[in-house]
Amino acid sequence: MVKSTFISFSLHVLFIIIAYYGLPLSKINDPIEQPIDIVEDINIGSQTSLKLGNLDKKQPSKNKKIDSKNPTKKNIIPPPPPTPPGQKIRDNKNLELKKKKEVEKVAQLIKKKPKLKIKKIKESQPPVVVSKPEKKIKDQKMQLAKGILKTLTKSQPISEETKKEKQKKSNKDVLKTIRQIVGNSNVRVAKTEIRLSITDINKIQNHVKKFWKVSYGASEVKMIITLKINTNTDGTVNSVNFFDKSLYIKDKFYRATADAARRAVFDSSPLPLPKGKEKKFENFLFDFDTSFINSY
Amino acid sequence: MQYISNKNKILKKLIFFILFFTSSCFAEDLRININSGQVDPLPIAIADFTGEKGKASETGRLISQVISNNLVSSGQFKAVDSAAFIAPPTSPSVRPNFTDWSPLGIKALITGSIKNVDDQQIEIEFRLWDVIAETDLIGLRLSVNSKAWRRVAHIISDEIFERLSGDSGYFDTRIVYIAESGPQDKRLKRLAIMDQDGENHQYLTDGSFLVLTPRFSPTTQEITYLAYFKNEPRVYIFNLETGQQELLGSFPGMTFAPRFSPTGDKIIMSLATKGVTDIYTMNLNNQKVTRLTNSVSIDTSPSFSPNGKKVIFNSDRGGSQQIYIMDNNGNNVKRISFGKGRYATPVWAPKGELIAFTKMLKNKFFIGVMAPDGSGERLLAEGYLVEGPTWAPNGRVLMYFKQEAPKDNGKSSSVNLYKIDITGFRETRILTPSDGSDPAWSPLLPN
Amino acid sequence: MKKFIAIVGAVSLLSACETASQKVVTGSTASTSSGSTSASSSVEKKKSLFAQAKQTAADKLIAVGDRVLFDYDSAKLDSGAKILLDAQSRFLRANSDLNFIVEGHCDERGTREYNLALGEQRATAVRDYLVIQGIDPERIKVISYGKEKPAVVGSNSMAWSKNRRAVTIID
Repeated sequence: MVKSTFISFSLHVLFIIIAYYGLPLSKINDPIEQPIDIVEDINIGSQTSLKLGNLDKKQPSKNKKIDSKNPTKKNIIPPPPPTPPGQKIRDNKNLELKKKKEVEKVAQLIKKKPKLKIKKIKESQPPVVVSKPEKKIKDQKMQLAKGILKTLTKSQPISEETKKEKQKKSNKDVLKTIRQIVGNSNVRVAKTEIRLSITDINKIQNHVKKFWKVSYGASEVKMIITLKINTNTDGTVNSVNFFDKSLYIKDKFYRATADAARRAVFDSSPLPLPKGKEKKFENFLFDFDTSFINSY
Repeated sequence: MQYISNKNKILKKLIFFILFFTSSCFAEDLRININSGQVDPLPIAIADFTGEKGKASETGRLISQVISNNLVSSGQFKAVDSAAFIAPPTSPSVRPNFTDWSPLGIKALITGSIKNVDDQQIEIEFRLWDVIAETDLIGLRLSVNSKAWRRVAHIISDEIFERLSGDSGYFDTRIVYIAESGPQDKRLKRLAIMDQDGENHQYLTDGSFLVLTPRFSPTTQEITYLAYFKNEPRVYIFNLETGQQELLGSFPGMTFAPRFSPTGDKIIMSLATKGVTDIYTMNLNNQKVTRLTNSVSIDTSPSFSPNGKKVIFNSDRGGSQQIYIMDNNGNNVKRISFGKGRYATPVWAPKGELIAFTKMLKNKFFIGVMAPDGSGERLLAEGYLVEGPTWAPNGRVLMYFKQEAPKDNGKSSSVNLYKIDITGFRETRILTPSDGSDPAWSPLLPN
Repeated sequence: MKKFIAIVGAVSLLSACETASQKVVTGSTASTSSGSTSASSSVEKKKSLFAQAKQTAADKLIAVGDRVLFDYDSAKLDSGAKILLDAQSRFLRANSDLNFIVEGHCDERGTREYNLALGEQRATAVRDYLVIQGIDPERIKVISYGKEKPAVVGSNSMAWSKNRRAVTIID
């Protein structure tokens, strides 16, 4: 009897916990409206005036006027709200602007790099699984092994260290992924669900990694950048939204790096979704972690 | 037994239900971690700025060229050759057709325009577009004197750099340095100033007396430097607005190695007298002199931390030249360089996380960086002689000078200014009319 | 508050002095080119006469030995240097109407600011030795040029050793 009350008690607790933690999770799926264009347009005006304000404050009383050696005076005036760009941009075309001369050159370029344009295809296309190996990857890998920080004396040991660390990191990452799939409990996932294997996840990770180009300033971003992704069953990316909108507005390092992450997702479209499991990727999150820059 | 197994069955069902419930929760919240990428130059396109009524203009072409040179020189961007562009330049108020640009591998596009307001004033407008996300990232309109187009190009470069990297830019800055000419043993040295990219070059002294080690004030249009005026080496302040030069205090010996404090109201420097070199500060408001070190050794090349609380310097008090740190009142002196060789000219980075230095080891000179506690040493540049690093205001680029080995036939070897970004991969020479040494980077110019 | 100096005004005078002193420093060309300061006014003539007298004394000083050399990163006088300075102090005593400057120099294998300090140490070492020999300290000034004025241009240890020096010249 004591045993059964204990069991029922713990079950209740479990339910409460699930209920509690379930709530914020389901919240994630509420689409936060993020009209990107508007956010940035607001920024333009305020940023300019802010800059002026800051500069005025910085000027010490001792400081006189602008350098007289420089014969010209400079005033940044806050621009009027820029002409709002059209909301539906993807089908906007100015064909008459194209130069016929350059077509050949461009055609070559297109051959070299597959065009990964966003297309709104719902059903007809079969899911794309295989990611094409690119010539570029080799260079990028070499760059990774070298590390982004060059040093004249210790380049060899550092690169070895980096590799080890990366190994460790990717192991950790796999564990993280497992935990994410399984949840925080130690038990197995129910059999009725679509199960994602680590290979499924890795394939996507390795694919997106190739497209994520960050600047060194990203090392200033101390947190993970979360993007909300909506994909079609063929892996093409429909939309990318910033999860932490306020940080995007507030923090210039976060903003620049989040933009780079967004470009990476669009560039990596279509994603190599696992066959038969495409539904799981209709709405999901990418966590872009910049800490790799510091570990070099 | 029956009872227990029955209970177990119920329990199993319950657990199953719970798991089903939770897993479906997590299934909706699939998260994929991306924990690596490339720190690669970003391919960008800078369209020529359009002139009146959308026509191409010469100034517009020059502006986009200056922006392009700036961004590429940072090492963080790769400019796609404009010959490959399909679309003609458009006005910044027109949304470009992104499909014209993305096939070229371009990730960001800059469009701009110039408008004449009157004989003197022009209005320059630009917009930065994310070609992949098909959205605009920033747009500004600047109204300036038409002669100032070059400076506007630098300001625009800074805005773009900041928006795409997060770091503040450093293009609207100047470099003061020592222009050198003549044979090595009778060198003519002049104080000179130029834009960060080498343009607008100007001499500030005529070479009739030796000048060395100029450094910018972080707050005013002033330079502090060492001049051998009347053959007495002393620290002076040069006012860029008035052209006036001012002797700093009266000391019983050579004053040298001057540097401004981060607030610009103090000069920290060395005084050498009776064979002893110690570090002093002088308050520019009340002329008060404070002695910070009191040793019989050589204590020189002092540099404040960005918060002004600490001072780094080099000293041979331990036998060989090494870098030391102390409080701004001279207390708590600690050695921080413990690598092989001699360490010199420490300069604190603007953000405080690094110290740049000159290192001498086995007949070679190096420029390197390390943490303020001496850890994490990385050597970035080397040569027969490389010396005197100075930080760009955003702390991402170092400038220094490099001297080639002199030829034994007595002919002069060249001395030139170089810059390198702190990842250490891109060393570029700054072109100057003659040889150059002792560069010092200005803060971002006031508007 | 701050003492303003108009530097440019004194430029011509200074440069004349500097070229004269430089000739003594290098000591390589004993021949004087004082004719180059072609005198037009009487003041200039007097000046050139004075310069000639100075030059004769300077030549004598070079004959006695105007410089001592130092080890790398050192301002210590070795026994050879002391013997030379003994002779130099006799010359200084014999020319009691003249004042002197000891210039400290370094090789180029050091950083600029450290070398300025090291040059000052070297010049002071010479001055201190001369003072011990009985020379009036008021008669000897020191100046450091660090690595700014090499006596010999070259990237070999021979050139560097000749540049690590303290040179006594007539003020």
